[in-house]
Amino acid sequence: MRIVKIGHEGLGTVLTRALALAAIAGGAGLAQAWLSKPMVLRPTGEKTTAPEVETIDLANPDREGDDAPETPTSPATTPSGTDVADERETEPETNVAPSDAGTEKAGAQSAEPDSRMISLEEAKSLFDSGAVFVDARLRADWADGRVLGAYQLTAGDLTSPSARTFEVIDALSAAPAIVIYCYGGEHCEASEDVAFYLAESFQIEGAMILEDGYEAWADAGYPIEGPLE
Amino acid sequence: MRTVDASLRPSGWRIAESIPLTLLRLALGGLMIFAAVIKIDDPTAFAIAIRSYGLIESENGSFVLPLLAYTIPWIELVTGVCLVLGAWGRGAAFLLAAMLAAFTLANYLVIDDNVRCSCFGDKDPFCKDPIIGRCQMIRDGVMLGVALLLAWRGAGVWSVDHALSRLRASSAAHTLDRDDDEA
Repeated sequence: MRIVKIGHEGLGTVLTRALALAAIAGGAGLAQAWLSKPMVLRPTGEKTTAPEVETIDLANPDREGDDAPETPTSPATTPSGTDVADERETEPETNVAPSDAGTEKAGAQSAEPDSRMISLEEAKSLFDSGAVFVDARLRADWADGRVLGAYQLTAGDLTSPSARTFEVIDALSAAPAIVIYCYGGEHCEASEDVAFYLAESFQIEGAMILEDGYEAWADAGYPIEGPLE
Repeated sequence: MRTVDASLRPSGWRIAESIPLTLLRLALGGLMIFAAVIKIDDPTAFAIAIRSYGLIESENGSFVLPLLAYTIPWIELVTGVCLVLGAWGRGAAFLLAAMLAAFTLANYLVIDDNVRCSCFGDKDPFCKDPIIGRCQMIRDGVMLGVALLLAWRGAGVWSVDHALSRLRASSAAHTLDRDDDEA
């Protein structure tokens, strides 16, 4: 009697097939790369440092000092539909904007495309002055809790924009200033990526980054909202 | 005339073994397809996620990051489809095990370092906290173990691999019988 064995593959066969599958996948990936538009990645390097702070009225850039705007320019409504401006302080303690970034509309063309790190206090002042906040964290984290009125936007949203992304872009284009935040910390580069792609893909430059992240904002007792129902 | 027993019928043990193997194969393959589709849709976001590990050189002009961002999801997709079908199951599982081992090592190097795992986008079915930590290590370890098991034991009897083997064995048996008859 002769036995014809089935299902017995040698290690060589397994390795060969694994390599063949890797080659097929690699070919598909390269084909996708060839068919897609070139991948643009934010250059890495020295991190931006906190800018010099000067007192500037965001709503009226020409005015300086303690004269606060009666009603800050509010870009839109919060994700839950309430008017952010109504819930914000109308008399900011100080109107702070880093150098050129906060003195003009975020959608305006800026000579300096990189974003600037700002402190918690500076972010709060910008918040009081009507700046739009962008949450660069994952959507689930944004849904759990966020800066009052913050939009959720990731680099992925900006590289593959959806209808929702364009709605947010419209709001950001009309914003007096943009503050982006994520989790905070050394390795959270999501904010910088969002700032980069806002400038790269949508010419929205001058966005500022809250270096300390959301947790610090919430811990400070500053306005937050969420979770979503 | 010699009688040829082609052993076309799997043993009871092989059938029993194939039940968990098939379930694990379908689960792992499905997970890989799910993970791949998310990443293929947005390679730039995946490249950003890889860069956040800080393990890959990402200076301007570097091709490594885009290469990984474009190929890894396709490896996941190809191996996932192969596992679901049970076609080249051991080869697919071996390739997947190698990749999962690399993922596990990379995650270990940045564990508790405030790096977010982009393995399943923001739809991770296992770990609620996206920051790479113990949960992601356990998840990767379990998937690696399953891939190694499949690479060792194969796709089981309910697979394309087994069907093709039976076909080949049947053909060989007929050839031997015919040769014997002619002799």
